[in-house]
Amino acid sequence: MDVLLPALGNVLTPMALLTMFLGTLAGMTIGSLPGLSSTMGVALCIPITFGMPPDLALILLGAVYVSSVYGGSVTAILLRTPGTDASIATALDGYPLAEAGRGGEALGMATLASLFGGLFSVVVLIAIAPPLSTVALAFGPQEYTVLAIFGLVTIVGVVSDCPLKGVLSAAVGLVLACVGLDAFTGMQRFTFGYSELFDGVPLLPVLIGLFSVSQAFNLCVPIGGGVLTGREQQLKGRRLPLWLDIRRCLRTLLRSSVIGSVVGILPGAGTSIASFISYNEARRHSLTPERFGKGELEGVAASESANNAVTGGTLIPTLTLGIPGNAVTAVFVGGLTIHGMIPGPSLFTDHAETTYTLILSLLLANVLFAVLGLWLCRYLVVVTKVPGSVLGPMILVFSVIGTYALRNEIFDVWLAVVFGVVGFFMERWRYPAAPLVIALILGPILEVNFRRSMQISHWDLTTFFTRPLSLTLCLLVVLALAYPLWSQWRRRRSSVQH
Amino acid sequence: MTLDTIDRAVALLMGAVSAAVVITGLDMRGDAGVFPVIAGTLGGMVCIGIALCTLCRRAPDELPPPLAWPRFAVLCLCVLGLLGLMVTAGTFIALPLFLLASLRLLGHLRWPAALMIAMTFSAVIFVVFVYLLSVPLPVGWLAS
Repeated sequence: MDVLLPALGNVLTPMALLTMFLGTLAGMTIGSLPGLSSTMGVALCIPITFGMPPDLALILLGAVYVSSVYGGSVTAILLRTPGTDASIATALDGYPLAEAGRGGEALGMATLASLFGGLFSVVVLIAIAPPLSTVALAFGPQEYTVLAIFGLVTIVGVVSDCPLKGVLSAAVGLVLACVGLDAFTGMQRFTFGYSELFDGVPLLPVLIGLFSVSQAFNLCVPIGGGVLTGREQQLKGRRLPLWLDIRRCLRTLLRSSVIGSVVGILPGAGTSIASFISYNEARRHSLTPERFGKGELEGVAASESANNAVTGGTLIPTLTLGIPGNAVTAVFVGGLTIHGMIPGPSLFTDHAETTYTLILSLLLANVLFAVLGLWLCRYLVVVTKVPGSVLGPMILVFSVIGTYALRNEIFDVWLAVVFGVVGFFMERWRYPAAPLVIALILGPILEVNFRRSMQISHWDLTTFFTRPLSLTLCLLVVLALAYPLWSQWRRRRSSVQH
Repeated sequence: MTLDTIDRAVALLMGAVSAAVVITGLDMRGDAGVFPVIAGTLGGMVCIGIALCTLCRRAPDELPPPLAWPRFAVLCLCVLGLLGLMVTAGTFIALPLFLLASLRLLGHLRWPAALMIAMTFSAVIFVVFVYLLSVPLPVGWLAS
């Protein structure tokens, strides 16, 4: 409580509220534009936060994150084109509802469900993160080594149809993490004489390159890229669903929020997975499953509450253990580090006030996007009419200037552009970018802790299995490795039987 | 090129990079090379795995989505021009020129519309980064 009150004070200052308002507005716009992701939104905002106090910076990033996930639902419902992959399941029922003249109700339900899921996940974050960070204080180098391996193993397994491509992407990230002066011997590794690389490959230019510059290329290069051609449904009827409908969906909202929060905590599993699981569960438990896909408010509620519940869940391992579970939280880690905050248990001890400011601001940002969403959703659809080849150059300029602003180094800008082109081709050739970024973040943690463990144990590898916490984490790694293989084997067996 | 051919080429290229990383890592003093060797070995093994997968795959091969190479080349040239001019001519000469060129060549906007967007967006960048955030963007020729 002694931290919560000052944190609440930080959130309620006029400057913080203005920052949150602008962040929410920006996030909703980015989320509603197909092709622009939450990751790109957060990555683009990091350079702007550079000159801000950490409190305001995190408030802005948090607001952009949660509102961009919601923003995708507007175009999903009115245009059948989800702004982000989190809203694909929303389009299944949202668009038929809009076609039937119930677009206002669908958007209202999407907003209420997003609010419910978002608030639920922040409550889960407040309940779980502090105790987990206390446990993490007991972690030694052995535990951190295995934890970093766990983070890598889980992310590569779920982000791609072909896990080998995910592993290659992670391996490239690990090799890039080796660049720079060695922390133990001071030896130069793979710097090729560039003094800009002595501190390692800078994370933020890589993030901006892979997630923003590559998106700008994606918008500019295809002929007519980014222009939505779907038939727009007018907002008709009520703005909010009937209380009867809300009451009918309460159980679905709660179930989907739990699913979203749990999926969020698991590294690698993202918003789209959570919304599809919740959608299927809602259909399974419904008394009228045949109405799903034809315009059922419960379907919209399930998908939207789950994808917004992921936001708080993903921040749990990021803030407490320093292990980002997906690309957005990897970008978030970059945002924290430029303000001198190293993700991990120290956030809840050394920077407790700022951390709680972020968490409380997420609560308020959820309320803010709900209010703004109901008011502004019809205008967001207008924004999506901007052609990609007009939007792309602007994103590129913003990325270039933003990258330069980080360290005032033109080298960083070149790096961002190179990684932008690499990211563009990675997406075309189906190589996921998220493992590369997460390996770049986890690589130094893995290396330092692995070498420290080896020095303590005199190169005895059994040191990882002799400590209870480390052994538990090792078992989790085995489970994370074995589960996808087992489920693949089961799928193959059932397909052979059929 | 099909996706399998691309995968094989990527595996070959990254395999060579991984081998170079392992060889360099083995030459490093103390235990500085341990992690590069581990990362390089992992990369090498995955490259072998990808190459074998593409050879043994039973599913039909696919083509990547078509790429508009002329537009890609134009964008790359515009970006190279932006980066080159940013340092020499200055940010606020390079930015409007880049926007104007890309909006005309890629967006096919009319001159007045392209000019208006280029100038307005450059002004926004100036206000946000120079005025509000005090970022010392390269001024180039404007310095004199």
